[in-house]
Amino acid sequence: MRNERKQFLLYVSPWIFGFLVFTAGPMLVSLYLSFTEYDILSPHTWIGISNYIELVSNDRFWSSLWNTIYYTILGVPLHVFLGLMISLLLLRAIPGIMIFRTAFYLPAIFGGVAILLLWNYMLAPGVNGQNVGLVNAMLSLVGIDGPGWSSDPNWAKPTVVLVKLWGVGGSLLIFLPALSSVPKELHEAAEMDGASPFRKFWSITFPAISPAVLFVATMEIIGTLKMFIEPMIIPGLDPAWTDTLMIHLYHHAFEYFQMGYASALAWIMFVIILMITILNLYLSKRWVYYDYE
Amino acid sequence: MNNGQVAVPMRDTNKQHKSRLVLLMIKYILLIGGTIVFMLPLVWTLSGSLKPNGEIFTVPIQWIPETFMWQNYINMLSSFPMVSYAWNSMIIVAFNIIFVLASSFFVAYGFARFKSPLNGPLFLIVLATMMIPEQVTLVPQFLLFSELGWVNTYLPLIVPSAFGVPFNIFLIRQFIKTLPKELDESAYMDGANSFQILLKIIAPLCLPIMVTIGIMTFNFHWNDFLGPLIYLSDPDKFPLQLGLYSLQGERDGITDYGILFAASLTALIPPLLLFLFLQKYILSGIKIGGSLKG
Repeated sequence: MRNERKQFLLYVSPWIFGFLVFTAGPMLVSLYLSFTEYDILSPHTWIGISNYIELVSNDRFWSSLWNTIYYTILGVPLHVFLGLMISLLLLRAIPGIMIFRTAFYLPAIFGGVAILLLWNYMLAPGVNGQNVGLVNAMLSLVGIDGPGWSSDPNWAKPTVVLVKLWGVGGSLLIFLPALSSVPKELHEAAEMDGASPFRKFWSITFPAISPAVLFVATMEIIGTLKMFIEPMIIPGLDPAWTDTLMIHLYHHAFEYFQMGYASALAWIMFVIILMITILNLYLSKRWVYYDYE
Repeated sequence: MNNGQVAVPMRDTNKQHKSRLVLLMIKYILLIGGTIVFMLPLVWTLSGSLKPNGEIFTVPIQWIPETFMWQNYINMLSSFPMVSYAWNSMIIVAFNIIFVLASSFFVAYGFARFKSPLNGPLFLIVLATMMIPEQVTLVPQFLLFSELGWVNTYLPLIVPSAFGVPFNIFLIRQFIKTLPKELDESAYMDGANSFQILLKIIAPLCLPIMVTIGIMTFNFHWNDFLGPLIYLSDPDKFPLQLGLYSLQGERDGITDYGILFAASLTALIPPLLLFLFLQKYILSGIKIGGSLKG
């Protein structure tokens, strides 16, 4: 018994070390730093809550907070909904299914700068006789005058959401196994009772896969709250339209070297994410189905 | 009476059969439509990478170039240190895969197989750290690594992986939990110690989840941008994504779109190849159902 405890500690010790040195320690340090002024070159000085006051009086903080919330509220439900719909379409092994699965999944593996640079050109609006990218060229085929995308204040944020949605197929990896493990007998029983496909989905499939839905939604919320690369590479004409909290943090920490201000921002983000995660887990108790309860 | 009873279900199945066919047709229309929408960006950029400048942004789109400008790919190699950037990316990716797999597997085994009063609470912390965004620790980590003199080296991008990645620990632990414990026990009877069991019994059975995590690690670090952006300043050390970004810095000056398209598309090839070779592992997916709690 005691031996087993020792072995446990031995095996998890790398993680414990990593957690203390790379996560817990730095978190405490950043909490401390958030009350100081520190530019790396000169020693830090204690300034109380000045950083937090500076934050809430900075317009760019509010705009990047709003943008981040916008991406979360618009993007996450779309991501979960579309991901689930696509997974339902791809569930049954009909002829050609592997080609379809590959086509929908493939964009999810292209997440770096390279593909986003290409999106910039695909979204070239073509106003005033300038370049016309793929998207507006396709829209003009069906008689739609495409918007200015990143150069239009009303479209800059939806543009970021749309580009991110191209990778929605990533959720197949979670949804497909979950959907295929829903017991067939339940569906058959419901069919005997004359349930409509829609009714079957809501009463049988959805409750059974709710843990997977929660998982995808949680991961997506966290991923969106720390979104960085998409608005960095596809910024609005005025970056204030699209910048996220993470980009705001990056500028202050690594361009202006205001480590105290950046740490205060990091902690505000942490508190926001913590609240959302707790809320998420609390809400999930009402609708996540665990088969052994 | 009798006839009527038989006829009603007959008509019903006929109707059902028809509506099933209609549903299948709708399904195919949606699938084909979706496939076109999802694949067009790749087709358009591939076609663009083989065109002279003037032909890329035309309406209507000319899908097949009049003359294939293979020259764009040759010019890309001479005007842009593509090979050296790709090599740098490969180094970072390779070390991360090795470290991530070894450490996460080792730690996950501990959580999956050994009883301890600390097991539950510590695993909760693992789950919690999955949710903590890196940016909370970004600044102090940067300060720590600059104290150590690691800035402008690959160490900050690699070393943290050697101590287990929470999400991967979680996935592997779930997986090991599904393996029968009798396997371990009979090996203990034969005098094997826990490390031998880990290597000889558990590891081979964990191959599917290890491949999945290997692929995820590859894609994550191949596409990683923030880490290299913060830690690397010497262009000779840039991985591919950062190299492409620095190229974009001169975007306004760029008039050779074909070369930029070619370079960006080339950067997509390694994840694509990996996907094509390991497709069956990837599309078999990750099982989450009901497992979040324990």
